[in-house]
Amino acid sequence: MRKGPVYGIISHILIVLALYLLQTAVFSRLRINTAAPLLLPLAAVGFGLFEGGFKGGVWGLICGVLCDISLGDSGLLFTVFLTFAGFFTGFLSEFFLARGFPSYLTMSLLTLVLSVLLQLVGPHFYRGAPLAVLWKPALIQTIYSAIFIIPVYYPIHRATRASRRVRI
Amino acid sequence: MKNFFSKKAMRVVLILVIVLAVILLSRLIMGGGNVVTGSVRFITSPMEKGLGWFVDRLEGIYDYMYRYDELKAENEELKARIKQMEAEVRQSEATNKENAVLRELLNLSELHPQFTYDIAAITSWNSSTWSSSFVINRGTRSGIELFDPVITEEGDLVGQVVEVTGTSAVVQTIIDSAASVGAYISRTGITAVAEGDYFMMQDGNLKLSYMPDGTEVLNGDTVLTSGVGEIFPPDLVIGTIVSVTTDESGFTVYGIIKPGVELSSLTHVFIIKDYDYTTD
Repeated sequence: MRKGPVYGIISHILIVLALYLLQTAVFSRLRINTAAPLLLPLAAVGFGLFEGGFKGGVWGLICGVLCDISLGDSGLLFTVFLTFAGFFTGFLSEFFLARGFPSYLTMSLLTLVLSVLLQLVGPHFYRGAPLAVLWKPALIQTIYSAIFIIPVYYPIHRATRASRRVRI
Repeated sequence: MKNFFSKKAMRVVLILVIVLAVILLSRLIMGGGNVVTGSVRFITSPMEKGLGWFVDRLEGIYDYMYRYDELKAENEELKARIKQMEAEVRQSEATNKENAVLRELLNLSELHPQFTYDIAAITSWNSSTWSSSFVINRGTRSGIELFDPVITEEGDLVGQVVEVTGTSAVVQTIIDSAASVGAYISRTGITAVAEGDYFMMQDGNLKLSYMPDGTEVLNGDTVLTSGVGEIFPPDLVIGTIVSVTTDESGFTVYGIIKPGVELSSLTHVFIIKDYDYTTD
């Protein structure tokens, strides 16, 4: 039986919700030093890569809003950034990137590094915290988040299968 | 004849030797008593044991085959009883927790009669690496307002409300890099500022800054809220000094405060909705 668009939307919502809950309710308590992993950027990149720029932007926006809620101190930073990340990854996948794990890994790592750099802007430039103090938690957060690239890839790859079929 | 004797006599002697050996062994192993009974038991008891084991197994198989329904029913009844008992234990645990919370609230009210409290449960922690805050299940509908101080049942300072909605609020803890509290050292009465710091937040500590020149600070000194600014009531425990050090320039001394509250183990907190400034 062919799975319809409703199935696709529900599976996307379930993935985003699960990642939000894991990020907020589980891993916010399982910190390494003070660092907690970011999971929602991985979803934004995945949806962009496998579904193209428009859908990547839309799901990036949803992930970004939830990410800002989860972080509590980032204003609208992730709402803007993940919308852009989802759209840009989708744009690249339509013209330059192969839709597979190596591209997902590369774009996810890039997004995680940019996420942490953007998070450092406030503490470093506005509150005067020296980079010597900030680099360690930043590095831990990036590595801790990167651990989840593989577990997040598979559900997203599966959930976006229908979109890929249509595109082919 | 000679042959007969040699054969028959040897057999008889052999049997007698065996019987005597059995009797002697049985006497040695099983002690006194009737010689015949003892000897017989000596020989048969291992067999009886072996047979008993075999019969037990057979009975087990028999029970399994013929009393299966009965055993199944018994098993289900026991399972139901275990479930019921588990539910009772859970209920009892919940009641105990509720009792503990109410007792804490009562103690707190006795300790600080000038405060008007509300109790709240922590629903989640914000997942930012760069801040320390959590969400509670009370908001404006419960009378919570922005900057309300948040404490534990022991009266230790946890932080303050920095965001509030109808049914929830965000509490910024005292170790957050943006947190700042008027403080004094209880031993000397010298005032300073307890503030969060990115570096110290990684160890769950905060900083005691802006101390006057020549201030004597010792490890173990208790730091309390000063009440300056009228956001935090005075005399709430912020924490204890665990180290005194100088900054990179070498001119400014600051203390490292370990909070009185173990933030990671908090499950519920008390929000001071109002307090009487004139009492303290």
